[in-house]
Amino acid sequence: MVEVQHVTKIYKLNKKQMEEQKAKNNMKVAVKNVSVTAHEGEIFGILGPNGAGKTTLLRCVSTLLDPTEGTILVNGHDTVKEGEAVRRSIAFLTNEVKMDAHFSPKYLFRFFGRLYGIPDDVISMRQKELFEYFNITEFEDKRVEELSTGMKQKVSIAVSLVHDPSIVIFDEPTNGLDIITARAVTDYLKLLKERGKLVIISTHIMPEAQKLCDRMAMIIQGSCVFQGTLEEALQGTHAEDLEDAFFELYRKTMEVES
Amino acid sequence: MKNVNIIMRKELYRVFSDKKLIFGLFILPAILVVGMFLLMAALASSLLADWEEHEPTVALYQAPESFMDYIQDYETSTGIYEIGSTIYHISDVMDDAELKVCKDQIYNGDLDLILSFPENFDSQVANYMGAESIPEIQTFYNPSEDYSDNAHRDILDQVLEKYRKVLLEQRVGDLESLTIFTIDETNEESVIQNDNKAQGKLLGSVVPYMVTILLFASAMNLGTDSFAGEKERGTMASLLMTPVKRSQIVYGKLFALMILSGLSALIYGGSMIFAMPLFYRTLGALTGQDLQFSAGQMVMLMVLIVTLVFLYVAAIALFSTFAKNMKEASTYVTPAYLIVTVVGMLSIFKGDDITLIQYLIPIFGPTIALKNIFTLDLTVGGFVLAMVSNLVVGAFFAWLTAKLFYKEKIMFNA
Repeated sequence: MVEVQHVTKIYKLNKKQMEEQKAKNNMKVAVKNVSVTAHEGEIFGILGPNGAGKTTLLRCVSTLLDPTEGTILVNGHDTVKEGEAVRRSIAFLTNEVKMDAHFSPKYLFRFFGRLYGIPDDVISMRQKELFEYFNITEFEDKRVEELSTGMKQKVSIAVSLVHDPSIVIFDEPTNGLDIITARAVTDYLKLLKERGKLVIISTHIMPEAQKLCDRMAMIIQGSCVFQGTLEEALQGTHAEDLEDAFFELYRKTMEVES
Repeated sequence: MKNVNIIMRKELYRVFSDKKLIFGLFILPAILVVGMFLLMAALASSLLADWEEHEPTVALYQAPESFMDYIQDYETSTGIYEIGSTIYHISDVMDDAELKVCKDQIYNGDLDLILSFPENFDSQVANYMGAESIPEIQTFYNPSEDYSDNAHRDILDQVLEKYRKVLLEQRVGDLESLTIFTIDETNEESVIQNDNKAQGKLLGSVVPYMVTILLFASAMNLGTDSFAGEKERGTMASLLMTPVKRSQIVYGKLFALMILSGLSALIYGGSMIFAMPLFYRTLGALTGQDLQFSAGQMVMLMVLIVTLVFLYVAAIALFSTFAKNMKEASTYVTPAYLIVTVVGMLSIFKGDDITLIQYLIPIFGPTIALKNIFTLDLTVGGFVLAMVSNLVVGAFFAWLTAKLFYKEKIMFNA
């Protein structure tokens, strides 16, 4: 279970960043007092436009960033005080976290497996299962740099799941993937859910979220403006699909802001 | 420790599974060093041969009869002069106008030397009237031209000095009567020295400088790649997502770097030891091949090198961790490299008068200690302090790097 409690994340910008973002203030609030809870056995979506604060929130959950205010508990462990215990139970996949292209999928799988303290025979078993599922076996000895983008993404997913984590966090899971690979990834996320895992994904592609997510939180300008099921989102906004529901919420938020 | 080992092995495997890296790190340096020394030796010997083959041209102005008689002994049947093993072309200068032309030729490098005698040189020598009437022979040459400089030196040593003695003998008869005492004329055991130390002095002035620079240079590319490079490529984040302590990631990388830079420096050093005799043999200088190290010296040398590698690697890791990418890391590390180079150069001139406490000065103390191992001047106290300096500063840098690994601003630019 992931419990995000009143989390605020403020970035301190340096002069260069202020110029780049045309900001007048050197403090940028990326996430504003967000509270969400996600449970085992569900796919939880963090939805919002680019720059809304989705990735920042997921990075905080994954211990890569510390919240400025509030706490995050992952399976009861505080992400700031017990970072190592948290990392042991999660997998975090994002475009910013990459596999060293010099190594082969097989080497990387074994390397990360050992870092998680998994015995070699268990690593071999996990490797067989995941490599077969993602069709990696035939190129397991090739260097990652020789693989296509889709293949690389599959390798990243397989390697990040080496320790069979109970929580899988996926930032923009199908971003940049072809339709076949994207389907393989979303199918695997469903499989993980069936196995009782908690899957958290962030996306700005509403049709994808509608198909995948059991529950969701909508983040607009750092704040959580909605949390609930698809049905609740549609009912609350009188919309026909999630995209319309999102735009309705977006419009209301902008009205309040102005 | 297990995780440190896993990370270290991965870093080593990354290098040893890449043929290009192996070639660039371990083979190319050896080829370059040996090639460079061979080239220098070839250039030096070709320069010496060129000097030897050159036939200097010398112009005489108002040369007295006694001098012409004197150099007649060197004249060959073809009208040229053979002094030592060098052939000289000697001509006369008729008047002041021609003397001026000759000086221009000296300036342009077309003539090597002018010897200008005063008028009535012989009679001035014969009618010696005291210190105020000593005749002066003037020489004109161009020190910026090797041929002219060599001709000037050789003519002064081999011709004018001997000519002076001939004239002096004519004036006083027995030259020995002017000799008050001699120094070490028959004493063949004048030099009392430790040959090992003498050899070591030569090597000691060069080797620490080389070692310290090579160690840093070897660690530089690998270190910046292992820290800043991994950040830039996004692969560092995948390591930081594991439950491994960040300090273990840092130490694993540091140990791997130490092994790789140590090996690379060893190959550099080995190639130099192999190539240096080739170079010195050409110039006829000491090669240091007779130098013998005691077991104690060897241990001190090894310990100092290993701890120095640790210090350098930790410093490079620290600077690279601050950097967002390889380019930035190179910018940060370059000043450190310059400091190491300057301190290395200082060590060539310093060392004898170093106080015990100065061995603690980071980089400087250990570099001087390296030098003093060769000259047998390093005390146990000095060795221990130099080693402690390396370890303490290195450990501080490593600790600081590990601390930085927890800073999201540094690691994720957040």
